[in-house]
Amino acid sequence: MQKKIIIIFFIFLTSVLLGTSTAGNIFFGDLNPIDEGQFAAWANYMLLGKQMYKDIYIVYGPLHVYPIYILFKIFSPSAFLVRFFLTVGSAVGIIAIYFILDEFRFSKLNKTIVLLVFLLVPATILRQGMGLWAIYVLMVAYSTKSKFWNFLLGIISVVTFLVSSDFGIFIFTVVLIHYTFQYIVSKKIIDVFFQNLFFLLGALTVCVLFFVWSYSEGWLLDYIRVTKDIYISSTGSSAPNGQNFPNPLTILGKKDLLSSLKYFFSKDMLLYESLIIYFVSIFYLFFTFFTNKTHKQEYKFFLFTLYGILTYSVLLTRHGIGHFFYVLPPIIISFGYFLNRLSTNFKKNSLLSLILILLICVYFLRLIYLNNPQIRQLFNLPKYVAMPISNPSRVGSIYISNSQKVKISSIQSFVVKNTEKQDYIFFFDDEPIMYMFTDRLNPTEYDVPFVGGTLEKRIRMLNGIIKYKPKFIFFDKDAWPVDGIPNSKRLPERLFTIKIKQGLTVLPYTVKKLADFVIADDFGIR
Amino acid sequence: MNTRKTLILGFIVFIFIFTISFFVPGYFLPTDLLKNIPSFSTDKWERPKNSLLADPVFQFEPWRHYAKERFLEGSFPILNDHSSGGVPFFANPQTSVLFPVNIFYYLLPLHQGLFLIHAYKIYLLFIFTFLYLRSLKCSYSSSLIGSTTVSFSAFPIVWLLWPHTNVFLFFPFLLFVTEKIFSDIKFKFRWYLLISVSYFFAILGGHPETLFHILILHVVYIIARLWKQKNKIEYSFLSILIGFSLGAFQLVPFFEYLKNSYALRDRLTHPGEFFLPIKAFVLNVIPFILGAPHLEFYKHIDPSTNFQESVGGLGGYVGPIVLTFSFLGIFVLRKNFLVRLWTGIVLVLWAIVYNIWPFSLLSTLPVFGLGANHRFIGFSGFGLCVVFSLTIERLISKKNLYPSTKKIIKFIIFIILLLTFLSLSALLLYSKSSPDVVKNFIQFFIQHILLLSITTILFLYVIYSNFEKMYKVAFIIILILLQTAVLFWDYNPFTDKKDYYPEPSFVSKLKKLEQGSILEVGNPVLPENINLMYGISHAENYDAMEVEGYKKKFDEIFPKKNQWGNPDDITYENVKKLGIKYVISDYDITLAKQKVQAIYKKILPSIISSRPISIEFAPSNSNLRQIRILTANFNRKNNCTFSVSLFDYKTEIKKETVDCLKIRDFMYFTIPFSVTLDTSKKYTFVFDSKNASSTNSIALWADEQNNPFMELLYKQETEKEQFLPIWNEDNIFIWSLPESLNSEFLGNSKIIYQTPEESLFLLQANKDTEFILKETYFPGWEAYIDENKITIHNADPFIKVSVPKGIHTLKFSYKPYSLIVGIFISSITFTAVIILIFRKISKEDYILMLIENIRKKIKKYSWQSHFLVFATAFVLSVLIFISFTYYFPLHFTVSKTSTSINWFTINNYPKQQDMFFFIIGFIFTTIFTVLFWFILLCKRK
Repeated sequence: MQKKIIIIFFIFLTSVLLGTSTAGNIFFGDLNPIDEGQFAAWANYMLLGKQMYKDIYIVYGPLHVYPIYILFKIFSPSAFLVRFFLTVGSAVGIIAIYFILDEFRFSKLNKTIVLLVFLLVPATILRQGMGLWAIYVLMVAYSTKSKFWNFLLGIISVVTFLVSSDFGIFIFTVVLIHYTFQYIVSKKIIDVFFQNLFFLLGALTVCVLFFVWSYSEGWLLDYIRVTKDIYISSTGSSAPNGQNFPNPLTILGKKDLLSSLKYFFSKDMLLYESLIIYFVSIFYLFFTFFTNKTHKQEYKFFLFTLYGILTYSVLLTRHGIGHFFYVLPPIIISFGYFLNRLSTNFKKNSLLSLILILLICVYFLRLIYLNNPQIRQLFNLPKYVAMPISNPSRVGSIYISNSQKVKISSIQSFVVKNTEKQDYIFFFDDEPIMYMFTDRLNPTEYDVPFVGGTLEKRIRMLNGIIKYKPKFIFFDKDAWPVDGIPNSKRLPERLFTIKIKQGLTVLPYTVKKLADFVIADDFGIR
Repeated sequence: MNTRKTLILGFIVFIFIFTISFFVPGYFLPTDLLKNIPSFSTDKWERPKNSLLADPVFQFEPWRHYAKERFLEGSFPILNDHSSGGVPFFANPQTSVLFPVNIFYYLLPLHQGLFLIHAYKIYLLFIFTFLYLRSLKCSYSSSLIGSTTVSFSAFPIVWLLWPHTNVFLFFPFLLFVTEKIFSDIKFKFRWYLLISVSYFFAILGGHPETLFHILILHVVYIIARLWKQKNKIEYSFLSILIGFSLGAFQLVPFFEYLKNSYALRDRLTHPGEFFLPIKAFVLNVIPFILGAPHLEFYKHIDPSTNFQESVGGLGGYVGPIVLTFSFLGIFVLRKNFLVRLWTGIVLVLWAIVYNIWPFSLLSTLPVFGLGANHRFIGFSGFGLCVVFSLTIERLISKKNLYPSTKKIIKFIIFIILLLTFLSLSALLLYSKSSPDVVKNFIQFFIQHILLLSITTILFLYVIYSNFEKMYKVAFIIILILLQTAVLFWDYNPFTDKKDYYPEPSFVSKLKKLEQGSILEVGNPVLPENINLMYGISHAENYDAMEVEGYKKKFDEIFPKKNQWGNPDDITYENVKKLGIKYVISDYDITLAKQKVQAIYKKILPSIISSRPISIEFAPSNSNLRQIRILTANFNRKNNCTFSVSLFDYKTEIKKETVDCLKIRDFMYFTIPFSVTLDTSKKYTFVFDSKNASSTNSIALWADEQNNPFMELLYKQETEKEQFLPIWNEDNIFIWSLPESLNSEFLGNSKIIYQTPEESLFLLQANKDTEFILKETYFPGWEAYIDENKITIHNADPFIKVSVPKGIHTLKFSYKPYSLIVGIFISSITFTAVIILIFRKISKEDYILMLIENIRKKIKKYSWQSHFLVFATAFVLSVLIFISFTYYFPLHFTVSKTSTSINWFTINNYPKQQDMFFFIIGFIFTTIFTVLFWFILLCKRK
C-alpha cells in the first residue's frame, strides 16, 4: 500500500511538473486567452459579485469553476492559479488512469509505457479525468458488487456531470447500460436492484446538496437553462464552434499518388486511425463472448470501450487535432490494453503479435512526436524554474513571452487610466482573460463572444451592452478567429458595423467608445 | 401443412401482394369524391364511385401526406399548423403516424404505398384469424375458410380505408395468444409479451374507440377462457397494462388533446346517441335491400345512419351462408364452450348495438355513453365467423355430427327456396305497376336475392356432396366470397392518378399568394384538411376532436353555419379577428344580401318544362347583381339546361340560361344577374327547362311550402374596409384581407423563421406591450424572450405574451409535456421489456446450444486466423461504405431554425451530415464485419 502511495505521489508530482494538461506547464508557456482565460474571467466575476449561469454564460459545470473562485478568494486572482488548477486536475486524471491500468491488470512494463505516454502527451484534462475516475469506480463497483462502491458511483457520476455536463452524460449512459446489462444477465435480479438503489442514493445525495447550494444562491434554474441550451446547440447546426469532421472521401480528390499517401499519414487521417482501436475492441469483445472468455476483465473492457466511443463523439463537433487530445485517454488505454494482452501472451513464433505490438508502439511514438515542441521545451524547465520573473499584475509566476507581457500590461494601464472600478468594458474578440487582468466586468454574459452565435444570444449580448454601456469596446486584430470565422462575421448586427467616429489604438487593439455607436432605428428589422 | 411450410406460404403471399402493387391500376383511394365539390369539377363532373368514403379522402390521406412531408423534411409532425391556427397532429391518434404498415406509404411511390397499406391490413387480418382458428383446433381447411370469411366480411371491407381496421386486425391475434396461454401448461413469457406488443401496435393503429372495444371483449374472453387459471388472468392483465404503457407516448398526448377537445364536450352533452335502428338488422341478411353506395342504387335505411355505418357497423354482414350455419352451429355444437361463449358475445353485442333494454343502459355508463357503440357489431360478425368455422369443421369432417343435422339442412333449403320464391313473386308483382326507376331497382334487387339464395343452396349442396375435401373447401371459399368479396367488389375503388388531388386553378392562385389561412364561405371549395395536400392553411379543422378554445371562438364569431358547416354570412371585422388572410366564396361577398327564402327542408320536384318553379319577391335594393340558389342534381350527370327569368308581373325583364352539368348536389349556385329593379315593386323569378326530363333534370331545395331557397345580391355603396378581390372564375371568388396578419404587435417585428412547432421573431418595442401570435392556445406552447421563459396567456383563442420595451427575440415553441411524459413512460416500459426478453432468451436452450456450437468452431482456429478474417471484413466494409457514400451522396440542408453564424452556416454545411455518415458508417462497418466473421464461421464444417 505504502509503495502504491509513493508511486501515486510520484506520478502526480511528475505530471504536475511536466505539465500534462493541455493548458500547459505551471512554470512556463504563454497564457491561452480563451481556454484558461474563460475560467479566470468567470472566477473573477464571481469575486466581483456576479453569479454563475445567472450573469455569466458558463459552458462547463459549476464544479469546474467554483474551485478556481475559491483559489482566487484565498490567494487573490492570478492566471497562475488557473493553470495550476487545470494542471492538478489533469494530474488527478492521470492517477485515475493508473488505477484503471491496475484494474485491467497491466504488467509493470506496459503500465510504465502507457503512463509515460500520458506524461508526454497532454491528453488529460479535468473533465476527462473525472470521467475516468467515474469509470474506475464503475469497474470496482462491478467487481465488488458492494453497496458502498455503487453508492460512490452515484456520487461520482453526478460530480462528473457537475464538472462537465457532456462527460456526465457519457458516464450516465455507460452506467445505465451497465445496470440494464446486469438486469439481463444477473441470476439474482434483486442484488442488481439494490446496487442500483445505492447508486441512485449516491446520486441523489449529491443532487440534493447541489440543489440546496444552487437554489440558495439563486442560480439553479439558470444552470438548468444554460446546460439545456448547451446540449441543444452543441448537437445541432447552431454549435458555436466546429467544422466538418474530416471526410475520408477527400482522398479520392487527390490528384497524385504521393499526396494520397501523404493524406494517409496526415493529422486528419489520424482521427480515423485512432478510431480503429474501437472497432478492434468491439470485434475482440464479440470474439471473447463466444470463446467463453467473458469474465470480469472483458466486461470491464466493454464498459470502458463504450465510454471511449461516447467520448469520441465529442470530435464530431470539432475539427483538427486540437480537441483530439481530449478524447485520447480511452484510446491510449485501449491500445495499451491490447499491448498488454499481446505482450503477456506473446509467443516467439507469433509474427502477427509482433507486428501488432510494433504498430501500437508506432502509434504511441507518433502521438509523442505530435507533442514534440512542448517536449523540447521541457528541457528548459530548470531554467524557467530558476529564472526570476517580472510579470504584469495578476499573471503570477509563469514564464510568458515578452510580447504577451507587453500586451497585458498595456491594456491594464489603459484600463486603469481611463476607467473606474465600476465601469464595464467589452472585448469584442475572444480574449476573456483580459477581464481578469483588467479586473473589469463584461456588460454581457458572454466572455467568449463567439459562443453567443445564435440570434437570441446576439440580442442578449446587445441588450447587455445597451443596458450597461461599456466605456470601451476593444477589437483585437491579432486575436485568433475561432474556426477561422472572426467575430466581426459571427456577430453581424448593425451595432457592430457602425463606422468608427473616433478610434484609439492600444497595441493590437482598436478601442471604440460606446458613445461612438448609434443603434439604428429599425435595427435591421424592417 | 406444418408450421414451416405455412410460414413460407405466408411469406410468398406477402411477396405476391408486394409484386401486385407495381401493377395496380391507379390509386387505391376514392379521390374521385372530390368531384362532388364544384371547385374540383368545374370542367367535367362524373359520379364518384362511392360517395360514402369521405373520411379517407378528406382526413386520412391529407394527414398521411402531411406526415410524409414532415418526415421528408427531417422533422416529426407533432403539430399541424395548417389547420385552425395550429392543432395537435401526433396527439390525434387517427393520423396513425407511426402505424407500421404506413412505412410503405412513406417509402414507396404513392400508388404502391396506398395499395400496400390496405392490402397488408387484409393480409394480416387473414393471418391472425387463421392463427386463432388453428389455435381452436380447427383443421387447416376450416381455418382457411374461417379466415377468408372474416377477412372479406363487411366490417373489414367497408372500414378498410379507416384506422378502425388498423386496430381491429389485432383482435384475432390477441385471441390466438390467449388461446395459447390457455393451452400451455407451463408459463410461457412470449405469449404475454405478444399481448403487450399487440396492444402497442393497436394503439399506434389510431382508433381509440375500436381499441376500447377490443379491450372490453378481450378482457371478457380472458376471464371466460382462463377462469380456472387465475394467475394466467393476472399475467394477461399485466401484459395489457404493459402494452398500454408501451404506447403511452401516443396515448398521453391523445388524452391531453381529448381533455381540451371540443368533441369531448360535445359528446358529453349528447351521450348515448350512437346506436343502430333495429330495422337495420335486415342488412345482416340482405345487405343491398336499399342498394349500396358503390352501386347504381342507394338509399340509406334510416336518417340516423348510412350504409357505411349500418352495413359496416353491422359487420354483422358475413353472408347468409355464414349467418345460417353459425345459427346451425349454435344448435349443433351447443355443448362446446367456445360456441356458447361466442354466441353469448354475439347476442349481447347485438343487444347493445340495436339499443335493446337492458343493454341499452350501457350507454349511461361513463365511457360507453361517449363511444360509437354501434361499431361493436363488427365484433359480432367476427364471432359469427368463429362459430361458423367451428361448425364447418364438423360438417366437413362429418365427425360427431348431430343426428338430425341433415334434416335441419334440408329444412333450411326448403325455407330458403320458399322465401326466395315468395319474395321474388312479390317483387315482380309490385314492379309491374311501378315507375321506371323502381322497376330498375327491383330488377337489381332480384339479382341480389338470387345471388344470395343460389349461393346458399349451392353451399348446402357442396357440404353434402362427395367431392374431395380439397375441392369442397375451394367451392366453399368461392361461394363465401361470392356473398362477401364479390358483393363488395369495388366498394373501395381505384381511381385515376389524375383524380388524385388535382390542382384546380384557384389552388394554383392561392399557392402563389403570400402565406395566410383561408376561410370558406358558402360552398366547400377547399375543405379543411384537403388544404394540407397543397400546403395551404385553413381557418377550420376536421379531425373529430378540435381544440375547444378555437372551435368555440370560431362558432362565436360565425354562429350560423350552412349545411356544409361553413359560414354563409361574414363581416370584414369578424374574419380579421381570426387572423384569416383569404376568403373563398361562391358569391360576391362585397354585395349586400337579401334572403328571399333561406330555408332548405326538401327538394322540389325537378325542373322540367311542364313544371316551372317560381318565387315572388320585393327587392330591398335596386342594383341586383347575382342570385344564389341551392340545387340538387340527384347524384347523376344531367345534360339539360335550365333558365332563370325575371318577370315584372307578366313582362320578362331578363333571362339567364344555365348548363345543368354545372349543378352539384346540395350546393349553392350563383348566377350573375345584373339588372336594375324598382324597390316599390314586386317581381317573380321563374325557373324552367325546355329540354329536361325526369331522368335528366336538376331541382331546387326549398322550404316546406315549396318556396325555393333564394338569395339576391345587390351592389352597395360603402366606404368601410372591404375584402379585396383577387381572383374569380366559375362561381369561385378569392378575396384578401390585407390588414389581417398572423401576429399583432405594436412595434417592429420580423419573422426569422417559422416551422409548425417553433417560430422566432425579432422585435423592437418602444414601450412595454403585448404580442399576439395567431396560433391556437394549447397546453404545450412555451414562449421565450431573449431565451428567458415567459408566461403565455390565452388571448381567446390565440397566444399572447407581454413584451418589454427594447429589442428582443421572441421564440414560441410547442413542446407538449404530455408527449414528454408519454415518451418517458414508454421508454421505461420498453427498457424493462427488453431486459425481460433478453433474460428469457439467454435461458432458452436453443440459444445456449447455438452459442456452444459456435464456441466449439471458434476454438478450432487460432486467434490469428480470426484476426485476419476480421481485418479482411473490416477493410471490405470500409471500402463498401466509402464507395456507397461516394456514388450515392446524401445532401442535407442547414436547418432553417438555425440562426447561428458559425462555420457550418457560413459554409452552408449541415453538421448533421457528419453525424449521419459517422454513425451510420460506424454501425455498418461493425455489423458487416461481425456478420462476415460469423457467417464464415458457421459455414465452416
